[in-house]
Amino acid sequence: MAYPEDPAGLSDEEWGQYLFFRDNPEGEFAERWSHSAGCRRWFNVVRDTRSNRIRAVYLPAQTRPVIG
Amino acid sequence: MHPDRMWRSAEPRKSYDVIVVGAGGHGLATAYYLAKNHGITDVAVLDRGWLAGGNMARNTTIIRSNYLWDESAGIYEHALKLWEGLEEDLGYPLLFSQRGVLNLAHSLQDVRDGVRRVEANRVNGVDAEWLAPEQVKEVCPIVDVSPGVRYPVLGATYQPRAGIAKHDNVAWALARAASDLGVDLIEHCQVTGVEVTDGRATAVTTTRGRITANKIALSAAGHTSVVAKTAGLDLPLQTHPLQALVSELLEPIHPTVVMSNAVHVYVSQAHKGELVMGAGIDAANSYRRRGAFHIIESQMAAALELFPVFARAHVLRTWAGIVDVSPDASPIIGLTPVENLYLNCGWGTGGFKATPGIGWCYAHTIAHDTPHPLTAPFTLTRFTTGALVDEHGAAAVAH
Ligand SMILES: Cc1cc2nc3c(=O)[nH]c(=O)nc-3n(C[C@H](O)[C@H](O)[C@H](O)COP(=O)(O)OP(=O)(O)OC[C@H]3O[C@@H](n4cnc5c(N)ncnc54)[C@H](O)[C@@H]3O)c2cc1C
Repeated sequence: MAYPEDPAGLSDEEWGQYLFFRDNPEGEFAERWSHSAGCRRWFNVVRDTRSNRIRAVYLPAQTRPVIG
Repeated sequence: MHPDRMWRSAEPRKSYDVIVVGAGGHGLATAYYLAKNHGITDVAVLDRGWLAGGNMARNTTIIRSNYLWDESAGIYEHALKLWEGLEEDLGYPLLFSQRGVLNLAHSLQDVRDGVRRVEANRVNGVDAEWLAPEQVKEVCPIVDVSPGVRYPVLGATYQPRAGIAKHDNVAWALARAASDLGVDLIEHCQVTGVEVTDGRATAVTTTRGRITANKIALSAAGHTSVVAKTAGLDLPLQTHPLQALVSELLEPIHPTVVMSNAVHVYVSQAHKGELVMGAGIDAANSYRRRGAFHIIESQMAAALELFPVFARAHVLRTWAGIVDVSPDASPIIGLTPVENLYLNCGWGTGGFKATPGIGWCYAHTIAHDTPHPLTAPFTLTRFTTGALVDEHGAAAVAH
């Protein structure tokens, strides 16, 4: 969720969207994790919210892989 | 003894005046009041599973109305008043027991917040008292109020009219009453899509065929985002597992309901004798009805801190429900940008207590295509206007 480049330029709707609305899928969900009890590194994960199975792991700088 | 069949099980017809999506407590109450208060009986309540097998069957049944803000006091107190006459209205025992609720304070800030909330409650006509530790002990002798514990009890708010009810009985009684008034209750019928034509909701597609309707009212709790999305509607909701547990059956030992925000546990004793304890949500969002173990562990640790006497009790079972959490911990109710599509969601961890109240107000909203005055502050548009009803923490909001 990137911070808007020009927050003051947003309409109330757009600002509300930025503040309060997030994906909430039943299925594949991209999120950022921190391995806080270990190496303390940040990394990206695609998790299936139906089963909590991890479908993909990738570095923050990488783009989300296509899962076949 | 229960009669064999309490409600007609119906086959879906091709068309209804109103379709309610979700046969939890809220969907059933809505159908009941649509029929009873508004004479609208051409109604189907659809559920993907069996009747009231979602959060309605999984909650810890705490009923109270001692919320901080005027808007919340309005809807929850309306619900509590309805609870007080519901057994008689539905002609069925609900085991509604007004045994009171204590919300414990463990820090100076807790005390200040609690006293403030008591005053706010009284202004709104909600019964509320501030109790000193000795008085807490009088209401609930098994709470440890000694000063030496890690989170000493510095006092508590007390709402005597709060209590518990038997959730299954509530669902069955509402289902029977709605069914008797002509409502179709249709189980194992998952809504897979809401059809929108020219900005109006016109039909649902389901695992048992397409059904058209004049009005479509969502009441799908943790799955509301998924259903709303098929109508092109994004909602500010996150879905999380919420866990609870019960002990084996014990002699009556716990006379009230005790909640503690600081150590995060809430405990009551069911009529049958189990201690019923609720935890917090899992931090990660998930639709899997299984929560993380460490949540249960810290919940039990919190319970033991407050109730040393529970040390020898055993856990009988734990479970989770899937709850829809909104940004300000208040529900989202009312009209949507899609005509004829109505929204009741975001009750998160605390919607059981509202069951009759929301059924009443949601039915009104659907019947008149206008928000009921008590739910008008809870519209979706508040996330644009900024008029939030922030009950996070402020009102001991866990339940
Ligand atoms: C562990 C736990 C403890 C809780 N404790 C309390 C408490 O002490 N006090 C309190 O006030 N609240 C409590 N709650 C919250 C309360 O249970 C919920 O806020 C409330 O039950 C939500 O309303 P409902 O009964 O209609 O939901 P539900 O019973 O979850 O009903 C929603 C229904 O929608 C159905 N559905 C979903 N998707 C579809 C679809 N696509 N098509 C058809 N049907 C669909 C589901 O199958 C479900 O039956 C607790 C919740 C949990 C999980």
